[in-house]
Amino acid sequence: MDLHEVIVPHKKSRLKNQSHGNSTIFATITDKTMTGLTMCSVHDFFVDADSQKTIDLSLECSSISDDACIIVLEALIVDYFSRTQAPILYLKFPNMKQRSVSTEMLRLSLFSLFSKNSLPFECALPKTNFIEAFEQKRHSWQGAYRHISNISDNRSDFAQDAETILKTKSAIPEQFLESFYEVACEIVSNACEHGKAPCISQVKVLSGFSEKKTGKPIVYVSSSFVSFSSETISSTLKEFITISNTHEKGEENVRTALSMHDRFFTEGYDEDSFYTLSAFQLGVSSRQLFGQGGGGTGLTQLLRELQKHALAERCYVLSGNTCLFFVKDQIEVNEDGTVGFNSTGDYFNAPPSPECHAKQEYSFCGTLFNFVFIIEEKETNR
Amino acid sequence: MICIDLEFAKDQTGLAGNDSGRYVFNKQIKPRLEKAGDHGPAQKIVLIFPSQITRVAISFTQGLTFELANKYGRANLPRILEIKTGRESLTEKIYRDMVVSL
Repeated sequence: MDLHEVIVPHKKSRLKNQSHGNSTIFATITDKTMTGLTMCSVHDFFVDADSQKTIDLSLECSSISDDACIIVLEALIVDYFSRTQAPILYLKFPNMKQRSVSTEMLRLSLFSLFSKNSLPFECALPKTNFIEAFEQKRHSWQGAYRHISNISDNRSDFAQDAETILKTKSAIPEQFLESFYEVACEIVSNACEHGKAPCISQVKVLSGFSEKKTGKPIVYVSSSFVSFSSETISSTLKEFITISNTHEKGEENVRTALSMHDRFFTEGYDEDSFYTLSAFQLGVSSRQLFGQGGGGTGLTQLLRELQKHALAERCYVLSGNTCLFFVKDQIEVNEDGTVGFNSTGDYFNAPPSPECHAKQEYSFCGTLFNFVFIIEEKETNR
Repeated sequence: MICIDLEFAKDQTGLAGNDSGRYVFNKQIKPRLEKAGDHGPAQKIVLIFPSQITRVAISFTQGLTFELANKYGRANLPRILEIKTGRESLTEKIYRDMVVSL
């Protein structure tokens, strides 16, 4: 699919200033935090921009919600380049602060390869070089590693290299590395086996921070998995449940729960939300769709293991306009393999808790996982 | 006892993916079992992973053991399969993962 379709925005553009020079369009987006909505503004601006002129875009945010947002911004720029003749694009982040996590995220992004100074963060993105960098199969720089996985690839390629980066850049406990490997493999496998699009997998290690109260060294591990596709998690599972005439336990559970959840549906929790959280029940997998048997390998369970080793974390998946948060104490896996995404752990008789799901004002065409873990570094190796 | 030395690319240190596990079973294990005839649950199958393999994701183990689990039941797999790897912790993990019902 065309990348310019990756975001179907709600009409709520945050583009505040736009002035046209003879050959350049200067634009400013004033959001304080760069989020999915900011990407909607960028998307709108790129669609409407005069393709004969050079773009000089200033994002005045002082923080960035997460790395997945940066990857989407990169994708939007690549799409803009591929649709126009523009040879270069100027991108500025004038308000980023010294030694902040957001600044570090930016410093370890693809944009940094085209930036001469760290602050103020400004970069000149030449069309050919930037597209090449974005589409590079494996890309490792500073504390970041990116891999684009296709169906024919070895499922462990990204996890293997990501583990090497994690080991090299910080003193991360072995248990975390082992669990991270599992989660990374599971997501890449799902994307390749079930999806029809490549998966951009990325890990960043942000070190040099310390815990406020104890002063102990901590490290941020930020990992994103993005695949652009016309299919969403809910649409795939809904189609499967509708056409399937087999009676595997996992899919029977989904049907039973759907009949109960009908009464919970509101504007903020709809059928898409239900199918999205149902896709993360054990034993539910669109692999069955292809007659291969075997249920879901339990990303939720693997993620719980990973969360055990972190001081704090924020994990979510966005597919379409549905966002599902993997909140540590709300994703207990029951004996029957169900996960409630609520405090009672009840998948069948209770709706997910409000902190576990959200509806976005825009729709992302595809699926995007973003995980951030804050981990205490092993002191022995420091 | 049927001993099977599993082979992977020399630079491959990790294994993952349900379909990859099934592929390795079909290419490297199934033909050996067919050649040996109906081995039955009493005959041990020894799977030897090369020492360069340091990580095996649960998805790979589940795929690798899918057919045998269907035939004998997951709970019985540790009695049928003997796993050898270069690391004790990895061997234990594969045993743990093969009996997990998902």
